[in-house]
Amino acid sequence: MMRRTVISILIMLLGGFLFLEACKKQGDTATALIPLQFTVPVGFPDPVYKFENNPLTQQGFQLGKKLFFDGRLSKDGNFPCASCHQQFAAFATFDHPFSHGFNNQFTTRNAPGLFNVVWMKELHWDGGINHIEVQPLAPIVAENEMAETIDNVIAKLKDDAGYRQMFKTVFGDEEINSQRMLKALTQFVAMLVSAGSKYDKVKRGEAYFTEAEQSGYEVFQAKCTACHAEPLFTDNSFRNTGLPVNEILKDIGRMHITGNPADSLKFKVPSLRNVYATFPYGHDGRYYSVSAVIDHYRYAVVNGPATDPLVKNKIAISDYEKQDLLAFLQTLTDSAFIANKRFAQTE
Amino acid sequence: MKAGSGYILCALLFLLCSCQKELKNDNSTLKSNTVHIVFRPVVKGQPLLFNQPYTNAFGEDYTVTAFRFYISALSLKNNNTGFPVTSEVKYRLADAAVGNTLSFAISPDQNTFNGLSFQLGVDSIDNVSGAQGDDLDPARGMFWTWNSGYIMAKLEGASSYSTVPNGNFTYHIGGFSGENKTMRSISVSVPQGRQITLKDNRITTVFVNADIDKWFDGAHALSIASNAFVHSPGSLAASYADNYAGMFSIASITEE
Repeated sequence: MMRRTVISILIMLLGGFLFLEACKKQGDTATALIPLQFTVPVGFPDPVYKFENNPLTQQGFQLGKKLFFDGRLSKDGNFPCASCHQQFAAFATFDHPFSHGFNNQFTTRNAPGLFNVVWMKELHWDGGINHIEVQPLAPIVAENEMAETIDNVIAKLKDDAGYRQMFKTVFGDEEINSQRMLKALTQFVAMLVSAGSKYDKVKRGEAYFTEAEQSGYEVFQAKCTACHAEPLFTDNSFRNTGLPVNEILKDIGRMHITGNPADSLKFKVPSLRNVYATFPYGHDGRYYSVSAVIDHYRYAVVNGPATDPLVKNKIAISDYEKQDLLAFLQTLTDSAFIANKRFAQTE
Repeated sequence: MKAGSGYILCALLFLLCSCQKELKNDNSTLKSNTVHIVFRPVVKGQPLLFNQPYTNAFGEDYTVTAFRFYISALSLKNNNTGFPVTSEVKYRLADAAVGNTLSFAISPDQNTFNGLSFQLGVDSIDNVSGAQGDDLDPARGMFWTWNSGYIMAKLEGASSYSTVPNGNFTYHIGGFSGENKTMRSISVSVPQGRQITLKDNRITTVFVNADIDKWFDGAHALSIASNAFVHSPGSLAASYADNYAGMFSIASITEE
């Protein structure tokens, strides 16, 4: 009798313990999320991406950063986002017209630098991506880039206890799906704000242009800002700048997305921030120097039906003006951004 | 001993109850007059069989290997009172290969209706809202990664009339803006102007046919020989959307 009672009590205690444990999983063990502030630099417009349904947190940013540098997002493990988006090149691919992808293949467009992305309404050279959160899907599944499937990436992340813990911290439970992965990646990419160049310091009254830089700035304002509008140094429009079509790639740019012949050979106006770090230039990386790009506008514009009126008659820039312009464009390099340890791979 | 067991029982019950809160479903108790809407993929009225040879209006042979479409805002209609009762499912990816994706349960407040309506596709706002989950998860294979936007409906198969090397046809129909819009509002009525009256404790099931053959021959004549694939938004995709908008009809209504 006594023994039975003892056993009953033990069973009760064990049962109660198990139930309590089962309940516990739902709550209170979660690590507190540390909110992260997104600061709009002085003089910048309101961002397009407003972090709706994706509250920025320290842990979300760290998870996004881990994903950004993780080769497992690619089929053979060799091509993390960071393989084409290198910090020392302002997150473009250093010194490559095209980037390397899976199975010894090349991309078909020049990798753009990643900074100030939250101010972009459309992404990619052809504007095919309509929202920052879904952009990573394009390189992940592209056969010549990361060559992986979404399901495989999610399965690999689920296999990793470290990721399960991080997702749980950020999103409340261990569930890992594409939506959560993309939101975390967005938190990292969104924080890549570049607004600390000499140009910015001059604007804030913290530094002065040299004489050449100042003259170059005046040339820039007279002849370049119609497309490369301050402070983002792009108006985010799509334009045909008179680059003859690449005969091998036959890349028609924006028309590939819209199907509209008026968009033939139109490509996104790239920001000129960090321009000296992101060479080569053009959607297919055909120009290896800033000087060569300026010379294109001075001498080499090829007119077609959709060529932009602003460049149709070429842009008159004298040799003197060009030297000053080059001096000014160097003030757009944000060395602090390029060296910011916060954005560098941990380990 | 008896007291001990009672105590254990009480303790376990208490613990169960304390857990219950988190398990509890938001759905209130199912009303007795539930309507089941069941979509049936068919070819010329006959239940679809994958890889079975069919012939379309142009005399072209074809087989079907995949058939999926998004359904949203499914609601019952009553032309007399005009009340809409919308199912709670925001978006459902109906997949001919996955039976339970094809049926919906609706519990209306009123008991008579004479038709139903729904949206086929994904609303424009949900095409530009970033990363989504559940049936809109891009991993479902209904999202274009290079040209952001959802594929509203997908039909894949093979035909000897296909002009692509492997003899397949792949119709991935999407596009959400302007003339390229491929979302369609569908409305189907109960045949012969009849009215359905739900009865207590009886389950009424409405079978809605989705006839694949209409993809080729509906508002537009779209032979396999002329188009073996559609993989981007545009006027051709919109023509297929016009055709699939006409593929639905109420086939039968049962009570049990």
